[in-house]
Amino acid sequence: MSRISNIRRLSWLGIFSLLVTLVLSACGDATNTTAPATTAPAATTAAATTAAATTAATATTAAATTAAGTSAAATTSAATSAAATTAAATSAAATTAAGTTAAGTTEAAATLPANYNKMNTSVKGTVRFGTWEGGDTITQINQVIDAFKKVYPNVDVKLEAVPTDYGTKLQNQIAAGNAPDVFQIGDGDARLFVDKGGAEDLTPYITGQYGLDQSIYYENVLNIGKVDGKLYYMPKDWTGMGVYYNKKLFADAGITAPANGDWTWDQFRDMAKKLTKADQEQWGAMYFDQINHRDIYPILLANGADFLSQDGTKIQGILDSDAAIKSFNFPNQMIYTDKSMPDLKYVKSNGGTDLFNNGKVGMEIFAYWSMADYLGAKPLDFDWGTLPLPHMTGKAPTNVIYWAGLAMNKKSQNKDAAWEFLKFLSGPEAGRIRGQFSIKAVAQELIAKEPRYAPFTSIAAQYFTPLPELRTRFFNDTIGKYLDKGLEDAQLADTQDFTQVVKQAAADSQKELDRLRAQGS
Amino acid sequence: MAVINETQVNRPVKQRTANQRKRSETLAFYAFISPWLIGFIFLTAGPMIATLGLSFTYYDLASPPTWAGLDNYTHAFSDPDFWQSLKVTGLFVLFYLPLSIVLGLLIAILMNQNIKGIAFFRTIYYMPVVVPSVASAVLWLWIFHPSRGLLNNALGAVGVPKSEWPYWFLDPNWALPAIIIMSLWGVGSGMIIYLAGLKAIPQNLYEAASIDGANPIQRFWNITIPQLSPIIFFQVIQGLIGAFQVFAPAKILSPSGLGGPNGSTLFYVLNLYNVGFGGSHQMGYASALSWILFVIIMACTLLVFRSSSVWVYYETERN
Repeated sequence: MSRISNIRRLSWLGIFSLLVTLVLSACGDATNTTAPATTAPAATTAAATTAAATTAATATTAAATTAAGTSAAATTSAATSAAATTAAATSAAATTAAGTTAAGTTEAAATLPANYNKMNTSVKGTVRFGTWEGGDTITQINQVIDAFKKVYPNVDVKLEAVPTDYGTKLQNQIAAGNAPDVFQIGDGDARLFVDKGGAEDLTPYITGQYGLDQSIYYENVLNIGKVDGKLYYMPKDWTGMGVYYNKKLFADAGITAPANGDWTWDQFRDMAKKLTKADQEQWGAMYFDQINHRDIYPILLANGADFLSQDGTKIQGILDSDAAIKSFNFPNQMIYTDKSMPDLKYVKSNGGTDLFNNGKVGMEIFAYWSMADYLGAKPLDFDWGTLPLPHMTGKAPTNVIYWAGLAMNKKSQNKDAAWEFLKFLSGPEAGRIRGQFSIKAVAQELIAKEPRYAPFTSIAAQYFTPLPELRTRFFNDTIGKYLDKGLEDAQLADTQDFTQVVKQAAADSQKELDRLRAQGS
Repeated sequence: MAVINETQVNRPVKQRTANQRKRSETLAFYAFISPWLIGFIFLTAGPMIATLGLSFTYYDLASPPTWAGLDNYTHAFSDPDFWQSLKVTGLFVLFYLPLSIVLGLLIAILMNQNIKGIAFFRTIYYMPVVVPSVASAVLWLWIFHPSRGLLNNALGAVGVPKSEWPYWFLDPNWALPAIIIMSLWGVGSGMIIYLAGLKAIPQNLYEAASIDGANPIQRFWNITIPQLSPIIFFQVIQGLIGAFQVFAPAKILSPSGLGGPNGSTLFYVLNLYNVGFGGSHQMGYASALSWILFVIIMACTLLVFRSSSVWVYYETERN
């Protein structure tokens, strides 16, 4: 009798704690999935920007929207192709004119071209949009969808959010032919969906009758979505790398931040040495968590090295070149020779990424993702600034992009409507809602409000090169696996020289790449 | 005559009703087990057969599978990750399984005492089982934290200097032991089954042994263990299968979820997952890996089954 009641008590306890943990893990999931490539940091400022947006810019967009709206209304009611073509023709003229002036006056022209695009509001039907976003960012996307529906009342947008195993599910859907009409993609999977016929070539759309003025974007950011010269992805979210620095520690050490953000890696190293106080466990600089292949990419490029050949077939002989190995060993000199950077074991066991927040590190190399925390959720109790990434002495600056793109399903049944939605989603109005700074004007507004965004956005955007991840769909099976795993193991084992690690990774990666390529298709 | 006639007439009728009842019983049987049966066919057997087919192909989800012959299987045997994952999993089974059996049994014996409030302790010992593996892994991440963790600070309290504290999940030598320690936290599930077994042992056996002068240790070895052996056998089989399939702890606790550092937590199923769900989705190779694991588990289980005649005591068999 008592045993039965015990069991019942146990099972109640079980059900209760299961529920609690379920709820907890659900919350955990949501936050986890938004962590990479989030728009969260931009969110707060975006809202602020839209609210306090420069009157000129708001006026222009509003005007543009209404203009386009009315012309579209005319098109639908008249339903004559003549009307449509004239409307398109005039706006085309306007766009080119605006485009040239924008290009002429370079970035100073923060205002948008009068008619930034030509809307085809006659489209109707359903457009399915696949995303991995959850939480706050979904709210923004819903706002974008609402704004879209005001202009395109005949289109029904169905949001399909898949926060976990998004890539796998999407790949299944592509294979089964029931993928969403518009979907977002991470930089690691981008090449796969081009090779496997999941992503539609957007070149004819963007240059077509209902095209889009490409000059509103940072050219280097738009180019990330190109494979073999064709545009497959519109930019969704992205960030470059920059340096956060602790102004108090700078002042204490008697050093000043480089004027105009122009500095070299040698200067960076010197400053790190000056900022280090071993007895107080104060470090000059650190990378965010473990150093991976992307952290090193800017240095690699500056040294004239690379990960793999442009055609994506050769790794050995390139990844393990002397110049590449020298690049990988750069942080090691700071960790073991200068002792101005903490080693990974120290980082992981002493507050990890909070080391900078706790005022224990002078400079931290990272992307824009910390901005939202520092500006809002987790404000720092010291004065801080941001700097562009240093460059090699006598060489042009280099940077690396973290990026998510938007694609159109190649097998979409409603491509015209899908394009209109895709265009809207990547356009200025949605950009203002989402804090999307691929668009120069939106980035300018953001920077006017908070200049510390500049190193990760407008400045970094000048130095992006196409991502090596897009050269082969096997990047993550090879370099992404062997190199990052090798680097992690080496860092945890206090390896002071990465020569062997990189050589081994190059050999393993090449072997695996050859094997996977031989499997064909 | 009349009697014979009557039986001759009646027999077929009776037989039919018996048949009918049998048939309706059969129908009811299948109707009642259909939820499981449908689930088994569509969610277990179907996918299993599908993976067997896929294991002989190259398949990346996005395009139709292409024939690979035995390539995925031969590749496994030349893949260092396969051997590493087999080694890690083997070590885990070797240490975790005996420890979990012994600890589970010992705790069950403790929980079998007639003490006031024993139900409270039973509940406490069972609690970890109802905590999902992900949640408990996150919890243990804190316990094993190199500088702020409970465990290392406990070591510090007993005089181990800070410089000697293990880095646990960051150290290739300590990561696997840490996962074994963590997994042993869940021995409560075995405990509850042993406890049920202990309660079912007839008290008269102990009384008879006591009268014959057997001491507690003799009673334990000669009554408790033989009487519990079918339950221990069940636990060994269950534990064996489960231990080979460990996934969540390594996925969460290794520094970047890849089975590091230095492959020290590259469990078989974690490697399988990384192959199938990471990178370009090598589902064919992942399918082959899962069938190799199936064969390994099957062989080990059969081995335990074979050995059971030596050490498992079934009362009914002796009679």
